[in-house]
Amino acid sequence: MNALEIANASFGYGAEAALTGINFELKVGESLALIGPNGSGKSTLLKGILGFAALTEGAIRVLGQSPKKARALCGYLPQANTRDTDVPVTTRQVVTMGLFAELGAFKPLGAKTKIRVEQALFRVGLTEQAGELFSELSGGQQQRAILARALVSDPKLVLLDEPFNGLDQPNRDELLETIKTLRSSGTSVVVSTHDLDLAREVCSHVLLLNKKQIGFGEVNKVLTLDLITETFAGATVELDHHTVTTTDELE
Amino acid sequence: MTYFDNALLEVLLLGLLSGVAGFVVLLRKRAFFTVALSHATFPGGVIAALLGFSVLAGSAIFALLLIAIMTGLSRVSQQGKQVASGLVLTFGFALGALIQSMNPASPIPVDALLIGSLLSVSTADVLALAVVLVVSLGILLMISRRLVYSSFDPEGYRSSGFKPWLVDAAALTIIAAAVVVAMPAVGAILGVAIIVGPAITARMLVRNVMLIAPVAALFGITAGLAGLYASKAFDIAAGGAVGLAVAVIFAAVALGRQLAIRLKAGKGGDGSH
Repeated sequence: MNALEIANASFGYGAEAALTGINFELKVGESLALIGPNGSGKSTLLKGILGFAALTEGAIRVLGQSPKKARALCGYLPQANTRDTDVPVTTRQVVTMGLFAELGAFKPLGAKTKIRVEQALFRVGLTEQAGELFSELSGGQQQRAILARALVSDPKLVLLDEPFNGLDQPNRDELLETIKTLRSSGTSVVVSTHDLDLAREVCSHVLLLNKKQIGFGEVNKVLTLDLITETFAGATVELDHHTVTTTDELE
Repeated sequence: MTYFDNALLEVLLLGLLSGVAGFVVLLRKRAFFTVALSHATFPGGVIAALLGFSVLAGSAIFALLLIAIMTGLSRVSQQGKQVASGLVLTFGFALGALIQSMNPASPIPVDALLIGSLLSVSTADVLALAVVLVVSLGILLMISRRLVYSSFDPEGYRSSGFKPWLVDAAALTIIAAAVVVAMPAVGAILGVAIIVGPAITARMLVRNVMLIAPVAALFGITAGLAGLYASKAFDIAAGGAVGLAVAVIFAAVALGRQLAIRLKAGKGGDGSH
């Protein structure tokens, strides 16, 4: 069974497609970096995998099921601006939210549930901050807490939307380690990022996007100067310690 | 039961309801919606009084109508919930005033509709409040986990497979029912004080989301009792006295918290030198 099977798909909101021509397969245990400039459709694809963005054309199977059915098997780290820090919840309470679908309305938090929450906190290095208010954590710690919430239900597929944005080096390193551990445990990971070096470090495959699929394949085969230039048309990017100015910008 | 027993029971139940409904208002950031709803149900009460029906029933029907209008308006492009609430507030209040002015001879208790009449609440009013409290508490217990999750992170909530409309509908039901049953005691205008005030006061004190409702209920009961006994002792309007008590408790907690923060900062500063 593949983690993702997407065939000639377009995704969008309403009738209009924001992303077209998506066509790839990702095996269980492989990890995929979604790379493209702002507005290229990275978040749209992640939302399409979750069934939040409409499939306007083509077909998609997530872990062998429809996106809506597979949602419970996915862990999702949304972009950092979706949380309301006025709500006074502790880091532990945030992680526990990842088990609410299993627990339902009334089932109490038993010993096993509590152990799972503590394990998820440990995986992201937040054991000491478990009792602190989420709003009082640093930006990087908040991202890791939300990642722990995504991991606590032991998902088969983890989707991370720009998880490295605004992170300092220690938090970035912690997050990288967590993703590497996930990979080694056989969990499939899809991560959107602007950072090509990060893609190389933690991912087996790359999908280049700019409102359509520019390229897909193993990291070293796809991160070529030509494809990067096409993907980031109109922008300047760092590639192998060289600054590349794309053709649109020169024009 | 005497009129005072009814009033006493009413403020106790209202205090408990302020914990439930206020918690929902606070988490959903629906304070302005509650203000709008409480003001805009005024014509429902006026129409019901003119027709000789129950004021509570009139307000309840109007509340449902207004929620439907607000939901529709909030979906209009480039507007949103705040604009919808503002429009409904002015529309409803103006309509109530207009209907009342067109019937100058009718015995509509306008003051009672606007600021309530705690010492005149009937046993039926108390019973209605008790039913709403029990039902609201039941709904809150059923949705509390989802309410907290969806209020904290709506996108994460949806990705966990939950449907947002269910919590939205439950939250609106609790708020609307609280606004309606608070009317006999504290009226359309002051109702929002007892529903929202204790919860925002509790939010200043607690660091655990699950403690907001019980602490708010404690403040709500305290304000209700203080207002009622002040009203009896000084022969002043009970609704106004309850509203003022809510404000005084809020001010005292805000001031105390500010002082505690300064004292803590001062001690920290001394320690560093």
